[in-house]
Amino acid sequence: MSAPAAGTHQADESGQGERSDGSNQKPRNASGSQESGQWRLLHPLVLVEDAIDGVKSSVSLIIAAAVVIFHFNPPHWVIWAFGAFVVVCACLIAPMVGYFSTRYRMTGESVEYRSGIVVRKHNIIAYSHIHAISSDEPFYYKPFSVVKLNIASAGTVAADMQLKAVPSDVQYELEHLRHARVSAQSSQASAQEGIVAGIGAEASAIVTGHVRPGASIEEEQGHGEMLYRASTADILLYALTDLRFLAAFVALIGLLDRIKDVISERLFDEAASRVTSVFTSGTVVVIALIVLVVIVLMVASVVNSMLQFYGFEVWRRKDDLVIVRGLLTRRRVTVPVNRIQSVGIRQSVIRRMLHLNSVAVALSASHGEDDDGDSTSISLLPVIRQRELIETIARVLPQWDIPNPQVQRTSRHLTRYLLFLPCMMTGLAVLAVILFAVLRHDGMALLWALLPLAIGALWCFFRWIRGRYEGFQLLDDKRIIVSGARGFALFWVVTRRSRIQSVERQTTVLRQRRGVERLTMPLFVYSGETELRFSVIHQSQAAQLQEWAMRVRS
Amino acid sequence: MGEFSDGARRNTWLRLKGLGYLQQDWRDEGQWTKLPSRVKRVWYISSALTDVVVLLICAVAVVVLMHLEWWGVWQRTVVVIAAVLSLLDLMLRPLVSRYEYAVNQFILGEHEVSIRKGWFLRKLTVIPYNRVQHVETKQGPFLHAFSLMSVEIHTAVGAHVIDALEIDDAMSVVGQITAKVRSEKEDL
Repeated sequence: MSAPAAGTHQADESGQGERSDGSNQKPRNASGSQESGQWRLLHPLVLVEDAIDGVKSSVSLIIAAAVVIFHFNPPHWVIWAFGAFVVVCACLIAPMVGYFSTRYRMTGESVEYRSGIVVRKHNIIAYSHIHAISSDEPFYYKPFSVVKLNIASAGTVAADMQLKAVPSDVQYELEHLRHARVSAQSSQASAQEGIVAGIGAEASAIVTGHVRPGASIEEEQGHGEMLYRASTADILLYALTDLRFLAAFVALIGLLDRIKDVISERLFDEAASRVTSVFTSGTVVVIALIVLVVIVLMVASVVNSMLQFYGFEVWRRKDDLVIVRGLLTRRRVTVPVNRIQSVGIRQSVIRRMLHLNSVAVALSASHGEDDDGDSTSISLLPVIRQRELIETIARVLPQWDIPNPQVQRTSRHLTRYLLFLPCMMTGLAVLAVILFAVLRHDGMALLWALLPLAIGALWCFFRWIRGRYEGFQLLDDKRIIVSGARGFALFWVVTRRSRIQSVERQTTVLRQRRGVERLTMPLFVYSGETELRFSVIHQSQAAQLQEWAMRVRS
Repeated sequence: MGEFSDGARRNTWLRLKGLGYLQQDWRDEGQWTKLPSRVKRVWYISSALTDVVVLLICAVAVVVLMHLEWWGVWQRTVVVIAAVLSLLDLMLRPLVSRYEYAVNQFILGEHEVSIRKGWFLRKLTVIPYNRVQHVETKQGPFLHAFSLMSVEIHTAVGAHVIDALEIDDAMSVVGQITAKVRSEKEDL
């Protein structure tokens, strides 16, 4: 695969004028060290994509405007001209202005991005501050060897740098520059300031030495070590145990309910009566229909999971973890291992029954939106059997040295404190319903009491399961394992003490006398569990955790 | 306590390290710094203002709903509950402010800031200096009227507020925290 040039014109900010290479191949020669600091344009593909986006976003506006204009007056030629001008602006001029005003460059120390003419934006991320580099390669980008690149710095999406279309080897170039910079920093921590210029040259030399022009992702990965590969069977298992397909079923029911807002009431009643007649015609038909719906949803879940996780692989290259996945859009996330802030293990109800787990890692940064619109979670092992869990994590993340969790439960003998509020609220709601039924002399109104009872039972169950599984295990001076439950799912999170931002202990006057508290420790991570939470905990245990969290590094 | 002591003994690592518990307890009254007593009036005025606004909204809602003939059971219930809660808050606020003032205190410790708040529901927040991103002072109209200033301590994930201090004290607290932050910086 050959990498097309980033642009035919590359302006040098130093005022040396424009360079026209006129070739389709990005130069990788001895002069690479000089070019690494030059401003580059994005790939022209971004022009096409922005123009299509412009058309899509202006279509609804044009239709609405046309309806209004035709309704009141026949359009004057001025209005036609104005309309045409708006369309041309949206579809052609705006993307071209955006394209030619956007440039990026990689220097010895940082990657820089600038865009805009009226409102100018200049974003600089130092290599040492990069938390993750992720790229998306949609199928229509593949013929051009172009990717969408997202460079994540600490903080929210706003702190990220997004290069909408760049040659795929820019990611390798960036990774090598980052690695060279970080290695130089760690090995020469006490070096003089003058070394910076040298690092730039060294980094560029590494780029020219290691990144081969036209090298594919798979070829490049040959330089690393593959740690884990999810088989197709694993992905199928993931899809069939993914509870989101049940959520889709609920959404489908909700959608059917909304249909009556769109079609006429008579038509809806007719359709409803036909459906009812089918349902009342026999149990077999009902079962067949339910099975059919479940099969359709499962197939949808399998297709979705294949699109998301097909070819899921985890590689180690130098100090980075490289995660590659996706069927139509190949997504590739590079995470420096020392930037991983927590490791989360999760078990949904179905997966718990089947002794399966999912593992994800969290950073102090977002890393661009994936195909789910999820900008935070990085799936490390989509689904893995319980017996292989610890061994696989040890292979993928040996630095974390995660043992089999043996947590100390925090809510032992304190479940009553967890259940008090839901029981009280349920009782009050039921009393209100009874009062309402008595005042209105309506016995049937008592049936409404079933609603708060059902909600109360579910609330109590969630609280109970939380109390059953919340706990902690202090691994050493710097790491902790915290377990808990969220909804029906169980989780274990391993994190570092340095991620804890504060300790928050809450109680009431009455509970304080009994030495019972609630403890939360917010974490500076942007995915998974963003706080360590103990719904009820003994005061002395809370003080113990507080002391551990507050300990000053010696 | 006895119940937990059994649990704590199971934690081998801590036992080996011989760490003591209750380094900083809620009831350890000696070290806490009180806020200026004028803050009680600030709390009362701001709360009373909110209550009066809610009562006015209730009154307007009653007039509008009766005019539109929508004055049904649910509307009455909501308006009555909102009005009663606001009146209760208005009446009990002096007492609540007294308790709140007794609890609302802070400590600038050697390695962390501790802030205690609430009256019935109580909250203790402990922020290590090496997690502090920046410190701000704020002065709304009520605080300005009483020559007070609040201090906001920001971490990477949120902010914690010391509700009110004398202006000089607030600046001094900011200075002290900033100095501690400089001396205890830890990489993100």
